[in-house]
Amino acid sequence: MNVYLTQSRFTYSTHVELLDDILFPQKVHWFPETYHKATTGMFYPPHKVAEKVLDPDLMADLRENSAGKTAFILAAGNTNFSGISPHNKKPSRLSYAYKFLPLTLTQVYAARVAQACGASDQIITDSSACASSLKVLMDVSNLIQNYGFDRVIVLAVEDQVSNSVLEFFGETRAALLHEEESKTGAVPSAFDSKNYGFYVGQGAAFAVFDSEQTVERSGIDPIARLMGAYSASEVINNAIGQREDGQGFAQAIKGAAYYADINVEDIRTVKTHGTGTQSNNASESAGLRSVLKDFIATAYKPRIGHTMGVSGLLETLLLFEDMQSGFVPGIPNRSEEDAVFLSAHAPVPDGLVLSVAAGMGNIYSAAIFDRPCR
Amino acid sequence: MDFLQLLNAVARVAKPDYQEFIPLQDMAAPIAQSNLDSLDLLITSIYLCELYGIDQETSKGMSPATPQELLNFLNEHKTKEPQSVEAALKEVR
Repeated sequence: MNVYLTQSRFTYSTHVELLDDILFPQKVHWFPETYHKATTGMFYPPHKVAEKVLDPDLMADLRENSAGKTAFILAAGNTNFSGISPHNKKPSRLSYAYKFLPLTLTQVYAARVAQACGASDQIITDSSACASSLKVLMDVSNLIQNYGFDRVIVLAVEDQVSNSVLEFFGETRAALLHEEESKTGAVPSAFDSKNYGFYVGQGAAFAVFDSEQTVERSGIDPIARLMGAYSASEVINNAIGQREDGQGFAQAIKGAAYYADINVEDIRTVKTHGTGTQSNNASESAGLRSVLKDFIATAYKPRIGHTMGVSGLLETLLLFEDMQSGFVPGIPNRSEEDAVFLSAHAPVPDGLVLSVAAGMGNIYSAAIFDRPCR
Repeated sequence: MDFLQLLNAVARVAKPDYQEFIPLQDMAAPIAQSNLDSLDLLITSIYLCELYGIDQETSKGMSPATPQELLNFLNEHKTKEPQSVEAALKEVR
């Protein structure tokens, strides 16, 4: 049973701003307007980001033209949107007290959106940290191939630019902090010997996956075919660390290839997780090189920021858009020439597309697609 | 300002667009007749408390069955009130 990506909407911000009044000053990619009126407690930034991809016409179409048995998955990265965490130690421009507590639970929000999309056969939330929106593609495949679902709708949104998240990534020194940036002159990049790290970024993605029969019935022109997806972990004693030999990445890729029933040699284009941290650079490049043979790889976080649980799906959709334009993009801010972890745009090769993501808590996800159909 | 007009306008914002909302016509009519579910009613109530300047702690004591009960609660605890339906909608949208 083939599974197709048939519709998508996504958003990200290229507006970069230094937030200097937070505990760990850092630059972010964000939509400042999502915080407009947040201090009244009646508007919630993650919902405002989601609204950018919740196209009313598409939702009405999904609701009014049911494909049959339909599931909805909110890939939220967490069980709660994090902006109202009581952990915040220092008031900042991001501080507010949201008054609608039920809607801070991701599952309650999921139900509200799912019903508006006519998805009422199963509504679930995923909280697999930064792997969330790619991890759910394993669920998408499973629901369609093994449980008779005709359609699965995925909304990926997280409360990325919030006091809690920025404090967490500041405390763990995972994000590129302003202090370090000023001292070293480094700018965000990935797989590079000079530039490294990421800024946190707001973003959201909305995607519709349909069974082969649904596609045939509706006559819809798919964007891509989801061939297989898998999530794996690795043997490590550090719940926020990554093995340098890339075991987790390799396991996820092998699993996805197994369920896609393909030879890994057929994978020629890779959308990496590409946070650009020293740890991820080592782990991901080792994992990829241990499994794949002849491939080119790109990374989107240096361009759009790290959109956390949203990143896996959002960056995959961005890659499809770029491939439609005839190229696989170079990784921004590479300081050396590289034909594998691309330092410049490259033509789209033949073969399959691999998308990978990783999350704190030892999770690695991979999904394999055939080339964009459109 | 007609309170029913305000309530219906605010409740329409609270209710998802695609769902039917039946405007209330009578201050004594059960709010349940409007097709507001419990989450819609919670959102509507919080909007109204904000518009009437009622703090969150106090607003938790509200469980109106009719528009009249809702208005009575708001009048009892208000520290301000909206100037018009249009002004109120600007605040909650």
